[in-house]
Amino acid sequence: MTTETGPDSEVKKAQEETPQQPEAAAAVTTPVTPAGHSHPETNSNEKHLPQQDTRPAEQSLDMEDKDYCEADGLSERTTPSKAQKSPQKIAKKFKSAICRVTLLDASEYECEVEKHGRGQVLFDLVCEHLNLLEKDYFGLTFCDADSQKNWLDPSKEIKKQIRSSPWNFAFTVKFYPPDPAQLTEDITRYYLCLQLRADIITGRLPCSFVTHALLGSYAVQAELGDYDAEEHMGNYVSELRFAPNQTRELEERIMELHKTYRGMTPGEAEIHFLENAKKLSMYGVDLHHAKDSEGIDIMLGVCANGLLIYRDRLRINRFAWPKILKISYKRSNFYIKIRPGEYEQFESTIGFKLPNHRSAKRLWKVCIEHHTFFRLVSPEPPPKGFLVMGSKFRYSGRTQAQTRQASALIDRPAPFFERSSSKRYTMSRSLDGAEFSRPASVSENHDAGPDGDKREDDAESGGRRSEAEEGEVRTPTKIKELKFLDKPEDVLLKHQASINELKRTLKEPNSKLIHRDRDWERERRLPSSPASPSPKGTPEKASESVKAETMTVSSLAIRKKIEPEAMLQSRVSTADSTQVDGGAPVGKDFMTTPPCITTETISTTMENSLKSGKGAAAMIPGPQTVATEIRSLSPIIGKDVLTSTYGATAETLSTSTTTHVTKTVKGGFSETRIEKRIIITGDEDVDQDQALALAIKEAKLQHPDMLVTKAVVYRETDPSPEERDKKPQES
Amino acid sequence: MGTPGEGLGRCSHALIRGVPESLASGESAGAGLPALDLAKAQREHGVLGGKLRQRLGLQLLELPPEESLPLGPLLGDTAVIQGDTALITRPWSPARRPEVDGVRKALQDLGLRIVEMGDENATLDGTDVLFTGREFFVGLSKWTNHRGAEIVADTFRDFAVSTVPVSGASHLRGLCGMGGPRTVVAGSSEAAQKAVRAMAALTDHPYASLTLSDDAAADCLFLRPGLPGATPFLLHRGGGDLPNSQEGLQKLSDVTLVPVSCSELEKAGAGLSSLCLVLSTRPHC
Repeated sequence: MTTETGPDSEVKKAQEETPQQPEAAAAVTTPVTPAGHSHPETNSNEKHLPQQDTRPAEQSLDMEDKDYCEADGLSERTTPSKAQKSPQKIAKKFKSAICRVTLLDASEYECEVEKHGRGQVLFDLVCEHLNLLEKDYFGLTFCDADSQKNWLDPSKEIKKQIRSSPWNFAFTVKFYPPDPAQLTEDITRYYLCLQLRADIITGRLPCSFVTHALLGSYAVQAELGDYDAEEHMGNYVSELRFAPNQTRELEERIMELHKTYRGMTPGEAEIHFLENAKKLSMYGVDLHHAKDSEGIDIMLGVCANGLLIYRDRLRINRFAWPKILKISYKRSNFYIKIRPGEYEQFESTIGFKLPNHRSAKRLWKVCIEHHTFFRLVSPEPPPKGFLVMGSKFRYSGRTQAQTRQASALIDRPAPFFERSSSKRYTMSRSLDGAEFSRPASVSENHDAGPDGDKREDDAESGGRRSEAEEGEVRTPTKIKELKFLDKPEDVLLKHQASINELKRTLKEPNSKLIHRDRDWERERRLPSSPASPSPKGTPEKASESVKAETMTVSSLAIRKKIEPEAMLQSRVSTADSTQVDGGAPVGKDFMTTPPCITTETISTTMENSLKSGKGAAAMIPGPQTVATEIRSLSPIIGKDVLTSTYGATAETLSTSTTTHVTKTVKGGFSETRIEKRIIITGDEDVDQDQALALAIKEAKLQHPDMLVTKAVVYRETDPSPEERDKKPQES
Repeated sequence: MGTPGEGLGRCSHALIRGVPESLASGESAGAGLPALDLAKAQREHGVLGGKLRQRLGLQLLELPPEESLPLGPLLGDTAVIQGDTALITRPWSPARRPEVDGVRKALQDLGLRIVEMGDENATLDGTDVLFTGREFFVGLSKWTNHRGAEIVADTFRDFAVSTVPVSGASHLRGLCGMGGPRTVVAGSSEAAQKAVRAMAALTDHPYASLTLSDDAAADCLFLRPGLPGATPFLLHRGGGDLPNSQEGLQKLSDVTLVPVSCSELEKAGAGLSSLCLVLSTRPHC
């Protein structure tokens, strides 16, 4: 898989984004005060340096992102002259704001969140209220000043996103599972049904009359239960909504069908509902208005499989995720770069015009999120093109052992819940003893203590930086991932951890979504499909990975490092072209990826680098920078092709490059050698050894049989690296 | 509801229309038609009807030939039928437009829900539409335009409807067809292969693809007249008509091959998909 790193972006981001402050400090600092009003003790360190360095970069950002909360957040803090709003009182700690969330049954839920709380906090509260565990598929939306629906980013402050709009949200399905039957809990399906019923009524999900009747009948069965002649008299469904244009004929057909479902439980009815709904062509398609290069009005549809182009109701083009190499936006234009077709030589870039910059960015973000999420949970995408008759390859749909396993790990008695789409939704927690114990575990899962919070914060923002510019995309599972590191001992979390571990083995792209911040472009490079690595890609890959490394270590040391790094990469690259097994895998056991070389570079520079006040190691040459480089190798032999990626997120500054070199050995086995290269940078204040030890420990946590093979320590001022060779790797 | 696509080919009835003398004379509408051997054409047509009724066991409705409608036998162009809905088309050739009337009435009488095109800017020939069981492909050909395709999409809302550019003088169905619920059959010409590639790119579903020597052989009919579980039929021209494609067709599994000939009618532009309309009056999900 080709991956590129976005070194420039990481650095710039670290410079530009005055870091999201830990919760405690956030309560204290107000976003809109001239420098003079802020608290010199807490802020000066942070502001001092970035102010000088960020201004030029920031201005360039501003040109593009005038409307953007992130930029605004920056400008408010670092360019005091821009303060436009009236100074606010200094917020007390834990001052809260009221949020109104419209739930899927149209009822309203009100709650309080800390004023500077992040989206995740509110989301967790809502999910808890809804007794929902399978939260990954859902999200919160709010309407912005242009009356456009926006997703509430869980990793960012609510305040910064919602800005001047009222704090009204809607709980919505974000990712429609391609196979709802595989969801673990009935309650998740129930919410999905509610969402789909709303989608049908609003016309977002078009269906035929027959389908309206069918889905309507299942909805009635779920809601009203068995047909009872005494209870259900006359037109007992007329108050329920089933279609945008509901006719008497439709209602009668629904009642006719409903009568035949005697004995069907609500859970069963919902499964039937979903089994039929999922087949509809617009199921889970998120539409965006746009114009093509010829100015013709089209709709861009983002879904689990990829990007669809519609003209009127017709599908005129489709780009499956594996076919898309890069997604980017610039001003109000949205671009996708697609892999050359079978008979083409070159990649092509297709551009679309969105109504405005915001829409372009929104579309971009939605694409990234879908791409990430569905690479995680959906099965192997269908083979490219049609299979030629006679091929032994059999497309096996739902054999994702991992997803099933993950689902199986959700272990709680089915929560009791009332189904009512028209009444006020009440969740009573006292009904079921199991629910009492849940809140505790839920809070552990999702509301870590202050300790975890801080680390989570750092890890989050670090991870975020590795993923691109301010428009970072994070799925909720990432946060859980990081918690895995924090509390491995916790049994309950181990469950969660295993789930995420399993998910992670599928989840390549998250780490591969690398940003290249060139010119004002926001881009994301997607991993190329393993089936066809282009030779062209490899030299590019090499040089870009090199760049990644250079940015986290100060300049002098860079040069020395380039060579070994480049060599590594080119070795890997050539191996890539020779070792890839082009043969079609045979049999049911075929795993998701054919043999390939995957190189992922994750750079996770931490906030601490800025907070230390002595200059982020990456950015400012001057103070001594010590870099420690570790190369550890561990071969893994097994049937499965593991392509998990993981960025070491130690408390200090560390960069980890994970290279998976996978070979197919005779007999259908494949061998993956994982090389992890960890670079710790920091100035004298950072205990290099400790950071190193921690990083090694974390790496071992993930790959217990990994051994350190090489450690290189060098200093910025010292041109020659000292090398210390350690034990050879296991074979 | 069963596996998606398994509903492909379900039928209880077939509709055909007799061959008028005016078709054979060669001066008919759609200028440039060669003279046909009328007797042979009528014989072919008769055999087709016989296969549909006797071999496949369908209820056969035969509309009488109309001299004013020389291309009347090609009624596959006049409607797009799926489930309980029939979309009455607007043929590209104005001379052919009256052909839809008789068909509309017959389908109405059978209890199908009738949908009209309703747009003067739309043109649609039924044989430009391929239904795979799970989605529609509409060929944008000489005879069918975007607006026509759009109306197909608007009519059959459960399904994805994708447009496929069709080059040359063919309708989409003259290049490809279904050989099974998951099998697309296509000719080996460049136009046919191009169309198949376009469909492969547009679809969300995996299909197997079978290439036949002759494009016209790909215009076959996958039909499931019996009860679910009974082996379906494939009506095809790979026997006497197009022997080169016979071998390819033999590769299809789980289907009973029924050869049928229409080489004379082919001179008028006919293929199997244009010579009959199949539908099901049985309710299905």
